[in-house]
Amino acid sequence: MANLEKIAHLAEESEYDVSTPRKNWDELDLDKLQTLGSGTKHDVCASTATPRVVKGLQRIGNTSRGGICHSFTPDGRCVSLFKTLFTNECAHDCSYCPNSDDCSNQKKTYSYTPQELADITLSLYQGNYVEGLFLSSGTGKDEDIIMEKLIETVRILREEYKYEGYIHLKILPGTNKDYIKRSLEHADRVSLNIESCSKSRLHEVSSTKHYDYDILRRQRYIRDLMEKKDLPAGHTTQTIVGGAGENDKEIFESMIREYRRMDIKRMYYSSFKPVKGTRLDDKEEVPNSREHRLYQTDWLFRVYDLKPSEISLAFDEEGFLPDGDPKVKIAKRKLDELVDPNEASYERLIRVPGIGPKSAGRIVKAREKEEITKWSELSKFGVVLKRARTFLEVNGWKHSTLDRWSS
Amino acid sequence: MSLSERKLELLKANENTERKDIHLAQKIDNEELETAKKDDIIRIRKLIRETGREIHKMKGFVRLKQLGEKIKCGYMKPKHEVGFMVADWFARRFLGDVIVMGNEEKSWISVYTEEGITHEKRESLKRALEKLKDHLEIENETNLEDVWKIYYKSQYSEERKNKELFRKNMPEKYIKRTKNKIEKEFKSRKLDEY
Repeated sequence: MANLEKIAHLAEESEYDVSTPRKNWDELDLDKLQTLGSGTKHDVCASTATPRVVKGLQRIGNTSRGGICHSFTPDGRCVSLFKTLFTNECAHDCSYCPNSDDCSNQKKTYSYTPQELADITLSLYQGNYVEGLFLSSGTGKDEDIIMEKLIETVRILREEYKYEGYIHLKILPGTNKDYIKRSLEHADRVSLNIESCSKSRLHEVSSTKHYDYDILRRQRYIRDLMEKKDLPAGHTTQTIVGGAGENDKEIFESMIREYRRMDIKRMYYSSFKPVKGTRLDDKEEVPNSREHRLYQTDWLFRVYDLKPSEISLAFDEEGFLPDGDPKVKIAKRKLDELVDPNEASYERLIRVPGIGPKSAGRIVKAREKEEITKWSELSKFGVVLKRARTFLEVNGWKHSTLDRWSS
Repeated sequence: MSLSERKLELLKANENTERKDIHLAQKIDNEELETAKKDDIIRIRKLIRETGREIHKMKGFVRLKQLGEKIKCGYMKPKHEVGFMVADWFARRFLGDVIVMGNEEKSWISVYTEEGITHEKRESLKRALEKLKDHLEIENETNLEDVWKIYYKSQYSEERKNKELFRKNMPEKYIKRTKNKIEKEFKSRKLDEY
């Protein structure tokens, strides 16, 4: 324990403290803040988890291995980053996007300067409102000019302010490879949204973005550059669900391609919502449940390590994921015999609905010491018995019901 | 083998932890804690998790006001004895700054310098700041709260409104324990008015 005088003295004398300019925000254009903030609300990645370990002592901030949410909006989504566009001016004509060149409801166009944006980010970070910056943008008239400004913003943060917090930087479609390389020098994570599941589907919603050239080629640049320069939180992408009339199977197949060929860390799904003034403003909105089912299949592939052919059992004949958990649908088709938690392998256990990787791991470790003899023991390991019991047999006891065997 | 220091620290910080819990925790290891079937060990697991969750929420939901060049101050009223764990964490994030966290009854003051962490527990937040005034310059904060308010609202998607999820992720108790203004304002209104 120390007294306050000593604490004040230590702070005064410390050379660790990096001074930053104090800003008065009275002159900040709040319409700009609102419009450019709002322009990113359909970009759903909110992760701030990064394995980057901050070592230096002349710095502001650090990172968190597990990520932190600083607030939640009334839609229940996490606010973890200062997520904003650099500018809402864009040369593309994407039919779902309020920033598109041909949106009849196009609001006034705004842009930040790199300095202004770096200052807002730093202030919000120091106030513990956010865990870092998520910087996206319209392309302006030329994507390379805007990309240079995005990079300048993060350069000011990293080099001039010695900021070591989290940075997620968007790579604009068609960006020059050199700018991608420079982006990787400063960011924890970069992302380039594929927006649609294939070339033909993208063509239906945008005549200016080229799937192969503007998107996939740039993703390959990122993937290849990552072999030389570590990108702590990897690269990600996002697709719109149902904007171009695609079914879930098409999106699922593009998910597999993205994970396998592009080596992405995560894929995000955003169900289509019509925006006034866009070419698709009279198209019916896509329910959030579709997005949710796709996240479930993504989880089964990425975390549970299920094969795509196995996950395909969850789709109906039209290529959609019907209501209900895909894992239950797969289990009903694949688990032809009841699973004994004392005998089953880890791989078989995690295929049982209500048993996740953590509870399966606990079962495997616990049974080495003592056999599982009661149902209640399973719930102590985190198993959701309500969902799991019709697939299990414990000590000769079964809970099979007709529902277990119905399709 | 025994429980990690961190887990023991979290257990001791929980206000519901009893002497018998600590006694038992000192006899088990991390694997036993994770795979236990006995109720008394499962209770320890829950107590540790509960404290860890509160620290995590405080790290995210507490807001810091910059007072002068050297002080960052935030309101928090944790249920468990986690004051130093949170204040020290902020001190490591903002090196050389005096972190003052607290409420009407208690405060935790922490700084990370060349000597490592130095910290002290005091009476109320207000009293701690008054005493610090004798040693450090304290200016009024800038109007950052207004910037946050506009930005926060810009992130909301009306078509995704989900009050159950909001309440689950941001329970009333944490809004109160960190005095979050905009979330509190929102909570006091009906979602449809937002």
